[in-house]
Amino acid sequence: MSAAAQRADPVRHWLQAHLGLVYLFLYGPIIVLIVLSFNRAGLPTAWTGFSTEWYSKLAANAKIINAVENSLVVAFVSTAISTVIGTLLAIGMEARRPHPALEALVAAPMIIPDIVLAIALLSFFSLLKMTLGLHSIILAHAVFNIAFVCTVVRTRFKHFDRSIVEASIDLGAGAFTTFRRVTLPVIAPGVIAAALLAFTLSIDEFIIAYFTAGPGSSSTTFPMQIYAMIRFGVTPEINAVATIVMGVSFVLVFLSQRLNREVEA
Amino acid sequence: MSALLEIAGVAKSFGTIRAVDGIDLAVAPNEFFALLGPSGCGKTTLLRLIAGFEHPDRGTVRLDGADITATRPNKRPINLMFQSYALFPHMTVFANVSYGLEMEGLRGAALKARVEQALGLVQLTDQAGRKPHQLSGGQKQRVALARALVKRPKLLLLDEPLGALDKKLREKMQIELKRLQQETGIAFLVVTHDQEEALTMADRIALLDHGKIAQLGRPRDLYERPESRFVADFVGQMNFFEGHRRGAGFDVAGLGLLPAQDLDALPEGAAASLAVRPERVVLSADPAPGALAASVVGSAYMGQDMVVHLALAESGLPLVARLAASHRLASGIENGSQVHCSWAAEHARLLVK
Amino acid sequence: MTSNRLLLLGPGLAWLTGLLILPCGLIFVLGFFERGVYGGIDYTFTTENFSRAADPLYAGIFLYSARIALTAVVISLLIGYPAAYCIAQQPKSRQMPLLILVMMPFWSNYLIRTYAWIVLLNREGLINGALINLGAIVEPLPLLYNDFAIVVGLVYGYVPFMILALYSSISKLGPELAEASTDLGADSWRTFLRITLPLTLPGIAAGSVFVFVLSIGNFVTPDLLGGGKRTMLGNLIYDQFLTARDWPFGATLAFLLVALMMLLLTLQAVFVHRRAGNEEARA
Repeated sequence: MSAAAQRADPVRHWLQAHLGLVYLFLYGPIIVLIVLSFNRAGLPTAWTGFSTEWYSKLAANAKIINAVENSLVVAFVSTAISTVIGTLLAIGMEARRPHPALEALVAAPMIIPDIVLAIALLSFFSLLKMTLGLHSIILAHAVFNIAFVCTVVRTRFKHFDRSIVEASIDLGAGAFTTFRRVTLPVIAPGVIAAALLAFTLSIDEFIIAYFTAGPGSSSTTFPMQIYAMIRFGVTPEINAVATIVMGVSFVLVFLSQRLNREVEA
Repeated sequence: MSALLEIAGVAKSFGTIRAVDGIDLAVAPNEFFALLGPSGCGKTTLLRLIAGFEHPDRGTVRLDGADITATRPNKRPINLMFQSYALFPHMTVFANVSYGLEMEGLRGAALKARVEQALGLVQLTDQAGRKPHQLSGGQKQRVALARALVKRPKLLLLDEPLGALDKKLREKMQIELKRLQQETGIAFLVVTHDQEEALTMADRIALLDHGKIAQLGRPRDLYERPESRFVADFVGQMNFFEGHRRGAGFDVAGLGLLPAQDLDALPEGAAASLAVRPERVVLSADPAPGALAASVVGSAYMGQDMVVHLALAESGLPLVARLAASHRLASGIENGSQVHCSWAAEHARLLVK
Repeated sequence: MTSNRLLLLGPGLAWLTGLLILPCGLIFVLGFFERGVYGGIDYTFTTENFSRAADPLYAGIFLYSARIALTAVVISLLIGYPAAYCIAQQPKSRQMPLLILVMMPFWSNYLIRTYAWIVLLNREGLINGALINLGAIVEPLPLLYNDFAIVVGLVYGYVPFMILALYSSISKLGPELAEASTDLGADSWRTFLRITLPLTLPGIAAGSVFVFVLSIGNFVTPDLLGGGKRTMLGNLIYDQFLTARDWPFGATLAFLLVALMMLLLTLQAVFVHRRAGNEEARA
């Protein structure tokens, strides 16, 4: 089919229109929230003027601020732990054909429904008579983040020419020097990208945190706070916080994509 | 002269596959040595055993008299040029080449001088600041060479060095490699499946077959005096005729008694293959005593010479001949032409295995 | 090298074994015990939890959840397939950015995205408001706190995955087969039905299983968009653990959910394996 005929093809046009609608479907609700956050009325029924009132109210909302702080702590620590362990795991798995059981183990946290993981961890912590708090959430989040980081870093190895490791050894370097100067720099973009995504996952994770947080506002994470607000009393600040959170996520994911894409070219 | 590299009784199996099955060979200092063979013959395994990335099941590897069988690869004064070049993608050309020297503890001005000398040797001085993805295939290969040579190893191993290059570049690099070897005085051990390459570059060749050495010798020896059918067939093109010794000649069914070299070495009545190189077959338009009649069934014009496929009269057995472009018959050959073929006895070898 | 490998794999293995295998094993075992008087665990062996799960009440919830999940799968397929196909048709350089754009919403907070639908579907929400303003309807439509809202929420959440899975399969196809079909006289529709669709079944299977499993175990969407009046499997398990405090029974339900999931995954793997074998035999 010539290029001209292709362009005239009505099927193609319908498909492209459909794709446009899909993007509208995906981004519409998000845009609505962003717009609402600047609506003075705070409600979707009427637009009463542009205002940043809800953002300032948000800054004064101690509960939300506290929850955000908790989430940041959990995210930073669980990301740090899982980036290190997950990367090591990925390198170990790429050295030689990994046992299928190991592959299944790493895939499991991402396949098992999160509510099952949530109750499993709650039961387990109960059995150990462990007190619950931010630390238990961190332990829990690290589980799926390790699996996640491992998987993302492993995809980096797909384009990795394994003979450069042997070349380094052949030229006189030991195992650790080879890791430090050859392997790590080459997979670094993938590791950082994985870390950014893991951080995002942890910040947004709700159900596992809900079950493993235990009582008290000292371990209320940001999603938990949002849930409470949606369930029991919506105030318009929620649009503002939604906009901010989405903005941050988008930036992190965008950075992550840029990092991972660079070296492939 | 004592050998630089001595391999004695080395064997390596992977599961049930015997990749290397008892090999003895010695490489002399300043020698250009080739490990030749079809894929799966064990040459790459043998190379990795010498480099230290595999450990032999039995046998020893000695370098300059010292037993290095158990020495780790980063401690051996041997360097490997990888088939994929294995350049470090995140380092410049300069950094790639200096890496091995840094491992030896070299720094500063001394390091810089050595690296620049190596880059000069392979004519890459201008590319020092570039990264591998900015280089052409030929340039990448030269970086890989410089990186290995800069360490002045006692032995340089090259794994299929010319495989990724196009024909013209390949011919150029063959001469380059030869020059480098002679200039540096470092012994080169090249692994290749291309017999033309081995014949052109090597001082000596070891032809491997299923993990064993089929023949070891100078290129001329392998080409003109192959010791087995496998060698005769692998190196260059060869015509084969099965038959038995009968008295003063070699009896091939349908062709009668043919002249052959070393007839006396073969017992009366024993079976063998008679091997004749296509370029040794003499063609003429007119019949001659002892010549075989044949008709042309195909020909291929190669520029400087011509390959002619023939079917011998009565028996229909195939024969391939090679004519120089200057040959009288070269221009007049067409399918169906009747010609007469013969060869001198000393150009027909009898092969028993 | 082996001690190095141990160092690399050790921490990960230890963490996953301790905080994944053990807890999940515990869940499996927990189903065989009884609920304690005050909500704790009474360690007497019983299979009562499993027989209770077969009770019409709970079986009904299972089936309801499956129905909703299946609906979400079908709608995601209908929305996702043309979208994935369109992306696969674009010039190579544009495909990656388009896919990233599809996946981006997934990376924002699930609760917030679900909340957005509350805003949209509410009786005083955006959609009703717009329709009333346009004069299309007089009374607001009941778009929220029902099955419709739950399906919309699930589709919204998981259609990016479906598109990704479908794209992977479709892009592997390449244009030659469709071109060959056209060359032999088939029109677009026939080419699609007889060439494209059958050859992209692995992607359809993968996407469908994925969306189904994620949907059936989902808690947030039926909870928020169903208004607490609709109970799916996820809500049921949540209730058992935090309201009814019958942990053993909750564990049984979770176990059955995982079993269902493993069954589906196995079926999918067999299906893919069988097809790969068939294609090899024919080639």
